[in-house]
Amino acid sequence: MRVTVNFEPEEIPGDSISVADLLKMRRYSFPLIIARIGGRLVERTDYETTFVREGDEVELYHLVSGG
Amino acid sequence: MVEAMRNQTRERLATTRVGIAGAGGLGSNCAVALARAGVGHLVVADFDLVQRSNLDRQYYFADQIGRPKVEALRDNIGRIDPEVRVEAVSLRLDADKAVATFTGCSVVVEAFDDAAAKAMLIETILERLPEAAIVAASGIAGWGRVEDLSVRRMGRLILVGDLESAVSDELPPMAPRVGVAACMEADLVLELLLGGPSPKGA
Repeated sequence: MRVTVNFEPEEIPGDSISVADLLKMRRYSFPLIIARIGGRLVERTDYETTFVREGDEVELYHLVSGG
Repeated sequence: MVEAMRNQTRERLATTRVGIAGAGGLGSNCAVALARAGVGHLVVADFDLVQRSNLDRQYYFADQIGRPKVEALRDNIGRIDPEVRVEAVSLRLDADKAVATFTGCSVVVEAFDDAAAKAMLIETILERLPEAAIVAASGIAGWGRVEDLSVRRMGRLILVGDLESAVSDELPPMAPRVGVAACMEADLVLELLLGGPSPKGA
């Protein structure tokens, strides 16, 4: 399926993938991430049960310490 | 003409209320920039006291060591412009306290240092304060590559930083880069409050 991740088009095998698996696939290792699908925030507790599907616009951002 | 434009902008900003979560390197410098720009009402929350080690980048003075940061910041802004109202909220914010503290603010600036606190605040504002926008920072440690500090606009959430440079022993927060990020946050607040950026070359 074709989706966009952080505004870049991306081809992902299959017709859906959980947010948790997408993060693993992209090797996002930082513990704190903001994830949104179609502009909607995905709660951290829902990463396993929320699925990205064809055409979705996904945004994934690291939050790192410093301020 | 320039004077009229300036007065008009300041008049609009004078009636706005902006929340600032954290009064460290980001929060103190961002608050001062907003006060100088003319934002009329700042709600600043932090539980910490001014320490000597803060003076390398935060908007405090040596004779303020040991004082609550929010009180010291209120005094410093009062010396810049006594017209600006600074609400000094001296407590550690959790989700409920953040909602109580920032209700009525049209924009909240995330200026914590801890990543978990950043995530908590962003999620809380997006989920529980639907009228407010949040400007947050992630990845502002070290120095150099200033062009990597970018702005990502995601509806009501705007994120500033390189999203990678976490603070560590090798990568301390330093005044120039933290100051740049703090002023980027302040500039984005103005953009939100004034309904967009100023026209180019005006």
